[in-house]
Amino acid sequence: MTPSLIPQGGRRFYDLFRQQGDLVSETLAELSKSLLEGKSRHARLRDLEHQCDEATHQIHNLVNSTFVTPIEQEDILLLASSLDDIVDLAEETGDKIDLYQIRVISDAVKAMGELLAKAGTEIAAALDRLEGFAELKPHRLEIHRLENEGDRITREAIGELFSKVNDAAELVKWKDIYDLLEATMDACEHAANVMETISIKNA
Amino acid sequence: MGPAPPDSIGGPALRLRLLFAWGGEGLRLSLVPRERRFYELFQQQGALVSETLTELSKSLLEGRSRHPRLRELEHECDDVTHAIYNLTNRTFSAPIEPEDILLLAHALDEVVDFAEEVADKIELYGIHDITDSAKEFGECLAKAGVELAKALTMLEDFKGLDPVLQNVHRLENEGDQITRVALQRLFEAYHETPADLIKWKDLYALLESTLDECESVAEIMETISIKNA
Repeated sequence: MTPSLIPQGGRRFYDLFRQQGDLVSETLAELSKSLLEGKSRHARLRDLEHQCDEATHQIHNLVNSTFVTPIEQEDILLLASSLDDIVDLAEETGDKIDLYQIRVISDAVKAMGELLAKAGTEIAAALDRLEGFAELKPHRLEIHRLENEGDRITREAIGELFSKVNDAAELVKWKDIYDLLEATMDACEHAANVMETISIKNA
Repeated sequence: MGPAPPDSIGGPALRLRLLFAWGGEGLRLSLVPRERRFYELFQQQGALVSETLTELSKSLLEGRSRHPRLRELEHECDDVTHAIYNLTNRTFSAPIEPEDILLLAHALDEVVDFAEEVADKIELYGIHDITDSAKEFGECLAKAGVELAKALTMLEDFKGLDPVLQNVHRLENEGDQITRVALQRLFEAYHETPADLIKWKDLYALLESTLDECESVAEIMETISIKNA
């Protein structure tokens, strides 16, 4: 055992990233549940968003006060902010469903929610393995697959929306929700790419 | 414009380098240390961002297009952005990492581009009655512009930067609240025609993007200040 060779600050970074990973996963699971139940969990989502802001802030402060970071400073900041983006977008989706008073959730939206929850699990698993710079490619590939599936679902949903719905307000609301769900998934893929790059650079 | 007399910028110990810059009237020579030139250009960009957002806010409050002036400002900002890009390409030891310089210059340019697009869309869509929410949002943007201009004068030593950037984050949150209320009102107003709905939804999204980009600038400056601490 060589604990003295591991800088304390280094450990702390990985702990904070694990924490952020759990928050991402919990946020996306909450969003998915709320979509399946057709019931707002926005208060909880906002709470999670604040917690993630706090974790991001702590990572920034730690970078600021650590002389030698285990990963390049800019990679740490980039990863923290790309994880934060996922939670922000998920919270915004929950918020918009509330704001637009959408009561009946479409099947496509429910399916997107389930894909996002799966992506969240993958992200948390990848962040858990970041410390050893393990091979993260399988996680990235799985998230990429989920993103492709999500694209297909939103594409069909938007096509159907414009061929069946005539009410302008409904059209604008649903289009916005689908765009937000897609942006959330894109943010997951972006974070996965950042993680894999970090792990390759440091392996 | 000829080279400035050397004694006006510093003693002989100061290592000066000649640099070329495109001025309005053609190629001109200036004798300014390169590092100083970066800070000057960023201050210039900050002033342009602030002026642009103030102009936009005024035009929203008056319900009158100031689009020609905004387009002019957008072109001026493009020029400064290019000057920064060119200087980065030619400078070997920039005071800040080249990629951060480019990122910051680009984000500032984006703020101005978005603001110009808002004004352009108001004209294009033939919007005459500006909503209270849009006016409020404009004022929020103008305030963010002032904060960013202030922050850009602190790039050299980063002193006092934190509270200024915190203000930008706070204004972004305020903006979110304004859009939230605006969208609620938009969908509650049953008399809105489909065209009005789409026009206003687009405008609010553009206003929000403008303010989001202001926050991106703040985030980039935070990263730069952490790296250079």
